[in-house]
Order: sequence, then structure tokens, then C-alpha cells
Amino acid sequence: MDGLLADTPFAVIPGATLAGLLAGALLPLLGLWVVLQRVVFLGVTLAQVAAAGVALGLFLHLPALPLGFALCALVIAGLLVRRTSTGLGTGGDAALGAIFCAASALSLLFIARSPADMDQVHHVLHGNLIFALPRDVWALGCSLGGGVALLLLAFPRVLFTAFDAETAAALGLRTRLWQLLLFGVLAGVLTTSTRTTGSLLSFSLLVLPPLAALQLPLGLRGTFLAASLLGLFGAALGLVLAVEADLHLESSITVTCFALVAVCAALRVHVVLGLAAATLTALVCVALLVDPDPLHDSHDHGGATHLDDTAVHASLEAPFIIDVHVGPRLGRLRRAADGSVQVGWSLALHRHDPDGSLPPALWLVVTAGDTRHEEPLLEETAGLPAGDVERRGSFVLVPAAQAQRLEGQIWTGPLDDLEAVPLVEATVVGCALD
Amino acid sequence: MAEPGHHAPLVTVREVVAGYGRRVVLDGVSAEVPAARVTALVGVNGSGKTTLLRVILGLIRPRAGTVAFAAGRRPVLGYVPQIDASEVLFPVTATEVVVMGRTPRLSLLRRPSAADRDAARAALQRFGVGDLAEQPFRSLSGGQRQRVLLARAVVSEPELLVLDEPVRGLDFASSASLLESLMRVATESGAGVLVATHSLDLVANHADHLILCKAGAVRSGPASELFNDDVLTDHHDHPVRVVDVDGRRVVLPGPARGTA
Repeated sequence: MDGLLADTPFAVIPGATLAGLLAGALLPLLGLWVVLQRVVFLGVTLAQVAAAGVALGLFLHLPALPLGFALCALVIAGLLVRRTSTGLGTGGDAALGAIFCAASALSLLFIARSPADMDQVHHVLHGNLIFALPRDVWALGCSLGGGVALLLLAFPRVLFTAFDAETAAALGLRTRLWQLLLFGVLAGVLTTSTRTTGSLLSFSLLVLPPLAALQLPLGLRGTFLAASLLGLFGAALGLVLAVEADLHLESSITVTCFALVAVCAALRVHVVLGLAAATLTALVCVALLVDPDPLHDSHDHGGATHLDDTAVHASLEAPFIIDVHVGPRLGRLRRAADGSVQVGWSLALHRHDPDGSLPPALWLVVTAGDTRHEEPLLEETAGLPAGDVERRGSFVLVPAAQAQRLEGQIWTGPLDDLEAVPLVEATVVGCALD
Repeated sequence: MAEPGHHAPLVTVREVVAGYGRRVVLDGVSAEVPAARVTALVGVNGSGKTTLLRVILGLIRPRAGTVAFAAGRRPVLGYVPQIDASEVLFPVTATEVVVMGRTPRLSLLRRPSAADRDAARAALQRFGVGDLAEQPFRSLSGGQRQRVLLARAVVSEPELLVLDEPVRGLDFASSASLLESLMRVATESGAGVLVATHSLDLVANHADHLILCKAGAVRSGPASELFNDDVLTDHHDHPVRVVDVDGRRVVLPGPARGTA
């Protein structure tokens, strides 16, 4: 894969590219069952429950995937126990709504109490595909591939159960078993995909490409194939836009997939309308690619990044990835009575190759108006153990009175010869000043 | 119209108690479904007929009582649910819907074969919708969908064909045509038919055997014994007349004046 991507913009994010394309191609094959059975709310709830499980794992320092799967399994078991063979019914919907609310809140609470930080909130809830490591891609590929294969093996029974559970049960099919298989696969896949891509992208790829495919006048096999191809195309186009126009990766893919739904829905009404929708989508894509600045005013080509209170920017530089977050867990930095602010930071450094080389040192240079502060993130990288590294710390800054936000830049080199080396699309995440 | 005569019961329900949650719908119900005959399960809305149907189908486990089958085994069933029970969002063709009826026969990892698809097309022909075999199910009219579902029910060559309100929502002509097709196919195949309905008109000229459901209790017997003014008036708590028009039964509301 790395070789294939060598001369492309994706060379710096091979893990994200592979994970995005895998999820784009295979999640819709599962999502089509969800859409066809009109249990989309179950899909979004499971994605949120999986996120809560992953957050619980971070909170308890336990493996996140088994916890996420266990929570999803608990929800499914509860629903299957209470449901009849005829469907979830309104009681089921209400229960799902309650579970969705609880899972959303618990995700935030677990993360707020965990050693992780704001970046982890985004990672779990909105995804951080860009940090997908080879092991994440393997886990995602295995769960997606295994899930799709299982459903393919049991296809006639799963289809009959999904189409008309009551008749299937009356004719002797073990409908609960096949429902358990379908929802169990869904739980497993959503847990791994949420861990890698976040709940937003997982749910988007689960629902949007199947919805787009169902707009087309295709048979059953054609619809499955179209859902997969549309998901793959949406993921690929979203990746291109994100990399070339410096956009948030998961949001780009989601919006691209939604545009595909709009195009397919317009095609269903009339070919001309479909072509118009496709042209409009293409024009928006071109506008993003040609001149991203008007739509992305927080980006600085010099490598510095404005620190909006909710913005997350990823820093990437093969063969390693650096993620720096500056500021409080939530909200904006507040000045003390003397005008100073306490600034917390966290660093997560992921090496694609555990023994890969690193710059000799890493510094965070923060400016707020005329005020400048140099904070060592890693003063000496030579003695670091192999694998991922996490650091955190804080410092006090007295920003100029008129300063409204912090700006950050990652620098490398020894302190006496500090040199701004803008790591490609370098990045710091922080927050605005009150 | 044949009488049940000496046909042995295909299904025997004895003292069944069943319901949903804490609500008891059937309380000590007993009834028989004879083989190779048309049995009508008649009752007003909420009388428990669908619950009894589900008990017979094995979809609800009775809290008490037994459901016994002839020869000690569950008969091969064909089932047509109420017309809006099937999911019409699925992009499946009429043939693919009918093939589903053969799924219980398949071993775990087997797919439907060409023979299964041929049988499905033949079943569609029998119900007069052979030309719709490759049409999307979701694009069909209500009457056409119901014929496809009937084809799915008979494609498994059932010993007992169970239908829940088979003509609900259909217009007069579609209902009459569909019933004629159903009775012809049932007669040809020799299968028993159990049809649940709240419409006496629907079964007046087709049923050999009646099961009258009322407030969780049932009364069953040959149609020749039960299809009269007194029984049906008592069953409906409303005057009902059964009149003969050109040799066919017609059910009318109103004061009983004896049969015409």
C-alpha cells in the first residue's frame, strides 16, 4: 500500500487512506441491512454505544475494543429479549433513544475523567482517521471482512428474516439467531470502526452510501454493489479533498457521501437534475481544491495554526505523526486577575515505524499577540523508547491585552539553535482567549 | 362446497391460554383445523383471532394448554401475513420474494438453485402474475403484491396454508379474483387452508369449517352448522341475516327473518 501511494498526496497518511477506503467499501454492505430494515436509529445508537465503550476503556485503562463490543452486545441482547418477531416497535425506538442519550453523555463524562484530553474527545466522538496505525487498519479490515463474509454465507436466511421476520419464523427459520448474527456483526464492526474513524464517520458510511444506492433503479445485488462502490468513491473523494484542501478528514468524507445521496436522489427524479447536482458537487470540489483559503481562514501556510476553540488540526510528517493539544479540556482559556493564563498541553507522537528516526528535539512555540513562549515538548528524542510517546505539561503565559487567541507552531532543534521547521502542515490544537 | 366430514384434524388446539405481557387474550381455547379443507377463523377486531393464528404458527408460546399436529409433527406451512407486514423498501424482484419461501428447505450454506427459481416462477404463474416475475416487488400494486405473497406461501408445497386478512385493503374485484385463485390452488394442491378474517362475506361461500373468536373464547364446527342467523347474531352481538342468492350465501346486517 505504501508503495502504491508513494507518489501521491496520501503517502503521508497511508493508514488513514487504507482505513478510509476499507470502511468506505465495506461498511455500506452492512449499512444496507440497517437502512432496509428501517433501524437506522439502532445504527447510530450502536455507534454511540461503541464510542462510550471506547471512552470507558480510556477511562479505566482497559482495552477499548472489547469494552465497546461488550456494551453494544448488551444493548442488542436487551433489545432482542424485549422484541417480538415482528419488529422493534415504538417501545424499542424509545429505548434506543434513551440509550443514545446516555451513551453520548457517558462518552463525554468518561473522557472528561480520563487521563486523555480534548483531542481524545474528538478522536472518539468525531474520529481521528489521520492517526490510524497499521494495527487499527488490520483490526478494521478483519472485522469488516469477517462481518461481510459471515453475512454473505448466511445471506438467504438473513434476507428472509430482514424482509419478513414473521413469515420466516412461521416457516421455521430461527429468526432471532439470524437477527443476532446481523446485529452482532454490526456491533463488532462499529466498535472497531468507531475506534479508528470515530462515530461520525462510522455512522455516515453505514447509512449514506446505502441511501444513495437505494435511489438507483437496481436489483438486490446491484444495490449492494452500488452501495459499496459509492462508499468507496465517497471515501476516496473525501480523502482527496481533505488532503488537497486541508479539510477535516472525516467531515470531508461525510459531506462527500451526502452529496452522493443528493446526486442519486436527483438522478431518480430526472437525469438532467442528477447531472446538475453532480456538476454542482464537482464545482464545489474544484473550488475547495483551487483556493482553500477563503473557506479555511484558520490555516496559515507558514506552518502556524490559529487556535480556534473547537478546531482540531493534525500534524503529519512521515515517518511519524505528532498531535499537540493546547488549552483546557473544554471551552476557552480564561485570564486570571493579573492577565496571565495557565496553558496546558499534551503531545501524542505516533511512529509508523517503532524504531524510526525522529527530530533531535521538539518545541512548541506559542504566540499570543506580541507575547511568545517556547515550551519544550521533547528536549531530547535520542533516548526515547520505541513506539508511541505521550507527554503533557503546562506553562503560564501573559498574553498581550488585545490578544484574542493563541497561535502555535512546532519547532525542532536544540534550544540554542532553535529553528522553525514547519513540519508538513504542522499543527497545534488549542483554544481562544477570553 | 364440501363439508369437513371425516377429515382428521391437522391441528388440534386444547385449552390454550395465551397473551402478551400480562394481558391474557386467549383463555382456555380449544379448536381444530381439519386437513384438506378451508377453515375460517372469524372474529371482530381484538377478538383474539390473530393471537390464535400465531399460537398455531408457533410464533407465540401458549402459557397453558397444547397445540398438537397430525402424525406428531408440525405440518409444512405456507403463510401470508397481513398485507402491510412485508418490507417493501427492499429492491427485490417478485421471483426473489417467492424464492424466500424455499429458504427453510435449504441447507445452511446453500443458495437457492435454478430449480428453486423455476418453482417460484411456476407459483407466480398459478396466481396469474407470471409476467411480473422480474418486476421489483416495491413497484407492484397491493393486489399484485398479495398474489406474490400467496405464491411464496405455496412454493414450499405446504400441508397447511395460513392467511391473515388476505384481502384487507384490496378493492372488490381484486379481492374476488384473488380468492378464486387461492381456492383453486388450494384445491389443486390438497392443502388445508386456515384464513383469519373479520369479514363474513369473504368466507361465506368458501369455508368448510368455522372457528368463531369472541373476547378470547372460541366456538368451532362445520360451516353448515354455524353459518346461520342465530349463531352469527350471537357471535356479533348484532342482528345478522344469512340469505341465499342464486345458490350463494350472502351475509347482511339487520333483523333476522329466516333464510331467504
